[in-house]
Amino acid sequence: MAHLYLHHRLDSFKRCTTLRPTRLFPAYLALGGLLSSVTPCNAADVGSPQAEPTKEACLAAVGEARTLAVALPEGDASRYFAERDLEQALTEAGNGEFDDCLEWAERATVEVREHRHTLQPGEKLKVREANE
Amino acid sequence: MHSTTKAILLTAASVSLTLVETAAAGDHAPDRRASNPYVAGDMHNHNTCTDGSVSAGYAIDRSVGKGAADAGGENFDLDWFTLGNHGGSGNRDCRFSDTSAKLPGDTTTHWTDTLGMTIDGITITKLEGTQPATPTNMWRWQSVSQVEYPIVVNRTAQYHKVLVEGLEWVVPGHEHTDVAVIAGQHPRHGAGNADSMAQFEYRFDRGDTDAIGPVDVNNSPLWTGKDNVNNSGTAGHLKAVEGVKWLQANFPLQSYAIPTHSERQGPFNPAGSNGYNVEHFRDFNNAGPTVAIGIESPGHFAQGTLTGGSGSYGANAVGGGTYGLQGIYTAKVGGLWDGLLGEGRNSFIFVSSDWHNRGAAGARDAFTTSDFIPGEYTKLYVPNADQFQAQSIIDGMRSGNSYSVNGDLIGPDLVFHAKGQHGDWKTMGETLEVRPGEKVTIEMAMTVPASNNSPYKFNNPLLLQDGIRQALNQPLVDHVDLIQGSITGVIQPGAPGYAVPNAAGVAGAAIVYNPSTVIGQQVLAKDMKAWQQKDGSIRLTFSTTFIAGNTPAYLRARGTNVPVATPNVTDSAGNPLIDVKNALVDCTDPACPAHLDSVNGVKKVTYDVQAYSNLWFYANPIFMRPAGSPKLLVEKNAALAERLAGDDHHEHDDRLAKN
Repeated sequence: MAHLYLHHRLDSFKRCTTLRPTRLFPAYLALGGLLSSVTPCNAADVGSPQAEPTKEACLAAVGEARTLAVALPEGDASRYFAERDLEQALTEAGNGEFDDCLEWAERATVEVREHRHTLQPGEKLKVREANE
Repeated sequence: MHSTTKAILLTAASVSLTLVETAAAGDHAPDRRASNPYVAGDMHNHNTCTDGSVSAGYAIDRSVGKGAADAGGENFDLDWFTLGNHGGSGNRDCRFSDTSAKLPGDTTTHWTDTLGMTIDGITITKLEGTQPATPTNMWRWQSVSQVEYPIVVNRTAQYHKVLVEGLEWVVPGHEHTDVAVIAGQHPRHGAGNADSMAQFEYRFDRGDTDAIGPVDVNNSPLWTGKDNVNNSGTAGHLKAVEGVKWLQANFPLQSYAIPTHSERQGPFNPAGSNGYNVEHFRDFNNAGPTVAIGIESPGHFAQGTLTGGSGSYGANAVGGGTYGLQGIYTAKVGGLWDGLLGEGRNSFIFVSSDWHNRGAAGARDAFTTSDFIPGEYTKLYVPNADQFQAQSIIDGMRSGNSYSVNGDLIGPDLVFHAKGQHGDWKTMGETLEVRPGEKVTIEMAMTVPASNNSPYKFNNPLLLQDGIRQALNQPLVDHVDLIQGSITGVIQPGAPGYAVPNAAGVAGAAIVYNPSTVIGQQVLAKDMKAWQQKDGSIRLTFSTTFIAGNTPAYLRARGTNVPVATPNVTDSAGNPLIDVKNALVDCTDPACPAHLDSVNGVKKVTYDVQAYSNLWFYANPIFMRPAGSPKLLVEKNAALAERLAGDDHHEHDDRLAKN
């Protein structure tokens, strides 16, 4: 194994307000003769049949998530986030992407259940409405 | 110093960090060059023709326009733009933005609302192809050719930039792949068509199950022989390979197929449509040696929450999430990408936005909890050309002479090249022939722009852990990794190691595909030569040397603003950790925005703040082999492209002078 040593020739780095200490950096380069540790794979051994997500499953998931969201007060930040996620879920459904629809519905559900957004007093989301 | 091993090309040598003073890399005047050597673009983005939030025209306007948008928000002035929207079908009229985008005058509009109307000079009278009794959706082959391409033509005239109609292929047996077929597209002349692009979508997209396609005057289908059955699992993969072969046979120099966010849906599922294993990349490259030329890492950079989600990667993605806003296939030293490079394959990395929407925000807002507009955060750089055109994009990508940057960490003038004691400099994608024992000089030069598009000026909360105060809109390169690996030759289909077991979740991050790959040298920015330029940008340069061994190897580079061993961000070697850990870090600056996820009222590094905190760039590899040794596959495939170009069967597309 060989070690490399930096021979520093420094110039000021003007926008750095904090510089990390200079140090020696060893480069490890003893690589000879290494062989791949990977082994052959029989693709048929992997995975299992999956039912393709359906429009019905998507709409059901959106409905459940919407029920959770509207249980929060209007103006609640997590409700707003969840409703945006559900808009995207329905967009995916319109495109026939029902797996993505389910993912966005799940995201909305998590948003509401974990109540991930709480605005502090005086704080607001800076969302520009269409009429602004 | 001489080699201590005979098994690799690059071995230990001196790392004297000298000033780069050669004509090639050291001719940078203290100020930015008038004409950039690379041009920035994006090849993966969406609009309301599929699941995006804004109209096709609006997406282009924001991406390539300059200054402020008419209705608000900044434009991002990309040099080129490939519209890469899903295959399948869509129910919305993409001449309109969605209500959710909160744009003045735009509300969600469906195709059923506008049939027969002429809007933006485009009239759609019928939803074509196989349709139910009451049609609602337009097949994408129709919207590619009859809606998006005419908009590309209109915008080309407006902006005088290079615009291309592409596709995000919904791949049989897999998730997605970026494709473009530029044959026939002549938007600069206000003419041409995207029929070849549309035909590929019709024939090979698993979301497009239309059985008719366009018809002639006698109502006979024009595109016959479609396989509408094998869209899933192993049979689907074989159909996908046929799709790549179709591109190679018909458009070997005028198309590309680049699997995207290829870890997201987990490993390949022989009975479903999930991700890609290494053997699928190999199959694609074998089927399309000048077409299937790499990997696109994920977009959706601002989706990171408390529980992950950056890149739109969930816990079941291979790797269990992103790493430095990259998928594990490209982020891991010795990972899947290095496995392909270890064969000497022409496999290159590309990054784009995957723009759909801004999540909780509207299209004009400064913040985003989902995606960035093309050019806002990520840039794919390809070589500039005297007369830059659509062909230049594909030629640049195929050559490997390209690099990808997040958050404008570096600009459009990267120098990354290598040279032996004799001969010419070789850059990304090229192969250097050297004698064993010969000193190889590596030079890098890069410009760190004065600022990026971050709306946040507060200090990077990830770097505050290291005591570094660095504004999010003024990132600095901390260091560059020079990553080297051995090339042991092409693995033939069916041979040991061609197919490799893959795994969902973090288990997938442990898989090593090329154990010879290491960070050969790590160069701190403070050890580089630096110039502050008049525009506030900083030019960094360094050179270093290696000693050539007697077997082939490659050298690639990446850089970041994050120091080694930054808690919850990088490990002790400087590798990116899984990005969900970023959300363990508090964002406590009074300016930390309201939309961040919080725990017990404390905001965390999530969404766009995470994206702007954890920045990386990736440069494609330079290959090296002993003089006189057999050519690498990357060279053979480059030679194939040259022969095909010599045959000159491909059209020369719209030429556009540099501006």
